[in-house]
Amino acid sequence: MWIKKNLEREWFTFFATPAILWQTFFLLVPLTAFFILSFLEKTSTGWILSLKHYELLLNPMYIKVIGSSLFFSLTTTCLCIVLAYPIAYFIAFMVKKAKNILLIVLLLPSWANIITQVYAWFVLLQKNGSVSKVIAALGITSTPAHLLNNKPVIIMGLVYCYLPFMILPLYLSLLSIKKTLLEASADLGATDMQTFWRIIVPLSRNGLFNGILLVAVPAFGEYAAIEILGGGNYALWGSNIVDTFLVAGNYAQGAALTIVGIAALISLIASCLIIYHAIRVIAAFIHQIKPSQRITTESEEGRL
Amino acid sequence: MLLHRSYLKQFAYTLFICLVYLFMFLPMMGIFVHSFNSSCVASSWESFTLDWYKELFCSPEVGRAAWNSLVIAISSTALSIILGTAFVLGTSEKKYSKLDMLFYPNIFTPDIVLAVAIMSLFKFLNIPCGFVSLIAGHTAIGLVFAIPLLRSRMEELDKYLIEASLDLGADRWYTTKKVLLPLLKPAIITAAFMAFTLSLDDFFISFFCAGNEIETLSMYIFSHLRTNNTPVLSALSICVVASSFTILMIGYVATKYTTMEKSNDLY
Repeated sequence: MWIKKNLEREWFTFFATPAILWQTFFLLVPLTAFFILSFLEKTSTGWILSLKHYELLLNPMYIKVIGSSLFFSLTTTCLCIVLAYPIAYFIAFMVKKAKNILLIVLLLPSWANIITQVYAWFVLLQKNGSVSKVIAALGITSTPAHLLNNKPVIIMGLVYCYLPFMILPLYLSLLSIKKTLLEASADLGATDMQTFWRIIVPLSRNGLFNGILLVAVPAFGEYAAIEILGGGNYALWGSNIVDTFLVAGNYAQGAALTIVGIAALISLIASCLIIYHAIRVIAAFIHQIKPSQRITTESEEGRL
Repeated sequence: MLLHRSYLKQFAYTLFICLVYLFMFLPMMGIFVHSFNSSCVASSWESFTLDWYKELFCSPEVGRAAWNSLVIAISSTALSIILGTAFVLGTSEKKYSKLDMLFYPNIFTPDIVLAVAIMSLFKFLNIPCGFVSLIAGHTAIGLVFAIPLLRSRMEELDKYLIEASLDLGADRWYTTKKVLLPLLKPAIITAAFMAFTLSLDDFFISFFCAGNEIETLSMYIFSHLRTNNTPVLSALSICVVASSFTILMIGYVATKYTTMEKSNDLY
C-alpha cells in the first residue's frame, strides 16, 4: 500500500499537517486577514491604506465600551481568585477523604452550559422571582425589588459562571504542593499569612496564571450573560462586535475593533502579572519575618 | 497550619466554604423547583406538575435543537480527538516542539473572535454557514484543549518503552498502534469528554456560524428567554444539566477504569 510504504518517511506530514492546516485555515488566516483589513478603507476607486477605522475607535463611546469590558473582566477575575483560593485550599489540604466527591459536587452546576447557568440566575432574580420575594418579606424593600439590569448582578453572574475555571487549576496546583512544606514553615515559626504568601502563593503560581487566563479571556468577550442579566442596557466589547459584524455588516470596522480588543486583553493579562508581583512584594513586606518572632511563636506553641 | 489556630477563625472559614457551595447551588435548585411548579410565576408555589417536562419532550423544536447540538458535539469531538492525537504523535520529536505555538493565539482570543473569524471566512468564500461552519469552530475549540493535555501526557510517558519497541523490530506505525496509543488512552478519553462538553457549552460559535436554519440548544434558550419565558426552559435546563452530568460521570468512570487496567498490566 502506498500509504504504508511512505508512512515511515513522511511521518510528520501524515500526522501533524491536518491539525496545523485546520488551525491555520480557521483561525490564523482569518485573524491575519482581520489585521490587514483593519488598515484598509474602501473608496470609490478601490481599497486604500488608511487608519480610518482606528480613528473611529478613538471615539469616547468605543473607549468607554472597551474600558467597561476590561473592568468587568478584571473584577470578575479578582473576585474569582479571592473566592477560589480558600475553596481550593480547603479541598486540597483540609479534606482527607472524598476530595473528588467534594470537587465534583462543587463543579456540578458548572457542567450546565453558561446560558443555562445565567438563565437560572435570571429566574431567581426576575421581578417576581424568589429572591425579591425574600427581600420583601425581610422588610428591606416594600415593593418587589428590581434586581436585574445592574452592574453588581452582571459581575455576580460572571463570577458564578467562571469560578470553576479558577478553582480547578488552582486546586490541581495546590494538590502538588507537599504538605510537609507547610508543616516545616509552621515549625520554623511562620504565621499563617507568612506561610500563605511565601509558600502557597508562589508554588501555586502556575495554577493561578492558568486560572487567570481561563477567566479573564472569556469574561472579556462575554455577550450572552451580560445581555440576559443586564437586560441589553450595557454595551460592551462583545455586544459591539455582534453589532458591527451581524447588524451593521461592517467587517473592516469590526476587524479593527477585534484587534483593539485583543490588544486590550493582552495588556490586561500583562497587568495581572504585574499586579501579582506587586501584591507579593507588598505582602512580603507586611508579613515579613521579624527577628524576634520565631522565639515568641515557639513559646506560644509551648504554652498552647 | 493555616487557619487551624482558633475556633473562631475555623468557624468563619467553614461558613465561607458553605456559603460558596450554597452560591453555586442556589440557582440550580431554583430552576429545579421552578420546573416542577405548575404556576408560571417563579416565586409562588402552586402544585407539583410534570406538565412542563411533557411539553418539553413533545416540542419538535426542542428535539431538533437537541439533535443538532448532539450531532455537532459528537462530530467535532471525533474530529478534534483524531486531529489532536495525530498532531501530538506527529510532532513528538524535539525539533517540532515549537509547533505548539501555533495554537497559542487561541489562549488570548475570546471565543467570540474565533466565531467571527470563521463566520467571515465562510462569508468570504461564499459558503453558506451551517453544520460545516459549526463543526469547524467547535473542532478548533476542542483542539486547543486537547493538544496541551495529550502533549503533557506524552511527555510523562516512559521513553524507554518506545525505544524498546523500536529496538525489538516493530516499525513506527506498529509501535504507535500497540504501545503509544494504549498508553495515551486515558488522556484521549479525558480530552474527548472535555471537547464534548466544550462543544455543548459553546454559545458564540452557534450564535455566529449557525446560519439561518440550524438552532442549537444554547441558541434555543437564549432566543426564548426574553420572549417566551416559561418553566419549559427550566425543565430543559435541568435536562441539560442532568445529561452533561451523566456524560461526565461516564467519562470519569471510564478514565478511572482504563487507568486501573493500565496499572494492572504493568504489575
